[in-house]
Amino acid sequence: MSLHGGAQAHIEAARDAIRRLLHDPIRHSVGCLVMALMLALPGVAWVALRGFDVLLPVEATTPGLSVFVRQDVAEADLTALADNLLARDNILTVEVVGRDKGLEALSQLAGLGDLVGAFDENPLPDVIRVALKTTPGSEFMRGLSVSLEGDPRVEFVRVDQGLSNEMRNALVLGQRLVLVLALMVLAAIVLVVTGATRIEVTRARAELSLVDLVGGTERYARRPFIYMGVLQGAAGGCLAALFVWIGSLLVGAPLSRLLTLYGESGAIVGANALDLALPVLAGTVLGGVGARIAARVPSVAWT
Amino acid sequence: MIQFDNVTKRYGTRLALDEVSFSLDPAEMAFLVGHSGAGKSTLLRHLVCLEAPTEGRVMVGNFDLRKLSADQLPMFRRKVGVVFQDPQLLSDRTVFENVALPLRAAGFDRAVIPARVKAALEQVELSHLEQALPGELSSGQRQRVGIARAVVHKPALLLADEPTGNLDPELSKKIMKLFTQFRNHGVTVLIATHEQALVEAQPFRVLRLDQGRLVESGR
Repeated sequence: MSLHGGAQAHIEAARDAIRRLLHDPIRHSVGCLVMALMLALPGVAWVALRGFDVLLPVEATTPGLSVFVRQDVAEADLTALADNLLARDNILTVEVVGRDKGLEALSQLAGLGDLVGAFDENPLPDVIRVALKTTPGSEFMRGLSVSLEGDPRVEFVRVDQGLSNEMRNALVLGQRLVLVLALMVLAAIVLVVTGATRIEVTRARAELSLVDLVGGTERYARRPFIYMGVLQGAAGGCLAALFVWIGSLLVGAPLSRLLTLYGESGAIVGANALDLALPVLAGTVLGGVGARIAARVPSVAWT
Repeated sequence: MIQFDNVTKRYGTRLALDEVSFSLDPAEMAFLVGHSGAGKSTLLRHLVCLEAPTEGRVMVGNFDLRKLSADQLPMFRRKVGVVFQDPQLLSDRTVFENVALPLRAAGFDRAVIPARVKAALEQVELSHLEQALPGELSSGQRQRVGIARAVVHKPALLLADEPTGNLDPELSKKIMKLFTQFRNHGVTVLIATHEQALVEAQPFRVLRLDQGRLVESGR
């Protein structure tokens, strides 16, 4: 078959597929809608989880220590302590948060400005924030904590790994669950398209028998059904992208407000181009795969 | 054009064709007669590879039907036209689309399809109904559409299985006249029928089957 002939065959198959889809628009629309909802579910969940990922700033998820220094320690001693810490192994960063800076940060937190203003003098200590290269709860972390607590310049040491670490683990678990959900949904879509295509092939049994009898190849007979699956999948995918976009808008607004509370104002929470393209791509490919599995031509009937 | 060499077909223990041998020349027309269950349809099914002989050999033109590959089968079937008792028209397609089906399936260029369809419909005198749906046609008209579909791709062999079974005698004569015209244009025609009167009115060869055996092959 020539290139022109091949293109013509595909155009005709696509037209035939559209004709078949329009022959029963309600049934096929419902099929697209089901596919769209199935595809959108993991999509929206993924976008929401990514929002929570943004919520956890890197420094909050890195294991570390907050070293609260005694009020009467001179600035030179404070700097010496920080330098001493930085010189040790397994230390990622050391940041000195002066008491004035701490008070300023505290006053900016919602609702605490008036409370801070009520103090005659700054009650906060200087703090050295130490980020570690080791894993949370490591021997090194515990040893360093004990060693610092024995230092006369130190009031107390807080280990920064609890909540953020749990949230990180929960987030990873959530992402895995979404992945499993997505895989199950993808398999279900293939099954849905396979079933729908099989019904369509059975309905067209008389026509397919004729096509076979007059010398149509199996490829010719199957092609419109594969196009049907592809078109349905693409339509379902486009609808799913719309649902993901709407879902991300609904989830994005409260997430953005939450981020603002954590000082992450301006962070973008929502669906990006890839989030919208993936359902379309997945729907199209899965539609084609499902239809290809189902579009076997029945044997010729002679009556 | 057609050659059956000692063709036997068994379905389990039932014998459908029993050592059938005959040949048809190119542009020859013949009737295949016999009672219901005599093996007429089974024989025709062998000629389009819907059945394979249990024993023996079937040749159509240069094709040995036992040796056709999956790729060759569609090419072979494009040289054969089939007319059924029930014309099996697609009810949601117009007459034009029904007749165009073999051309589309065979990958004919879109530009030549309308002319070929119109020519086929002119042969069966149904040009004025090309946009009608099958449900709007009489049974005689539907049968003629089925014939137009069977000849639109200009087959070398035309098979008809009880083509006049649902028609009155007048219409049956018209249909027979059409088959004779195709034969006059070089098409080999084999018509299975149980209508004795129809066969007797025609000067063509008769192949008579009885319980799968060919008991008569002549005029």
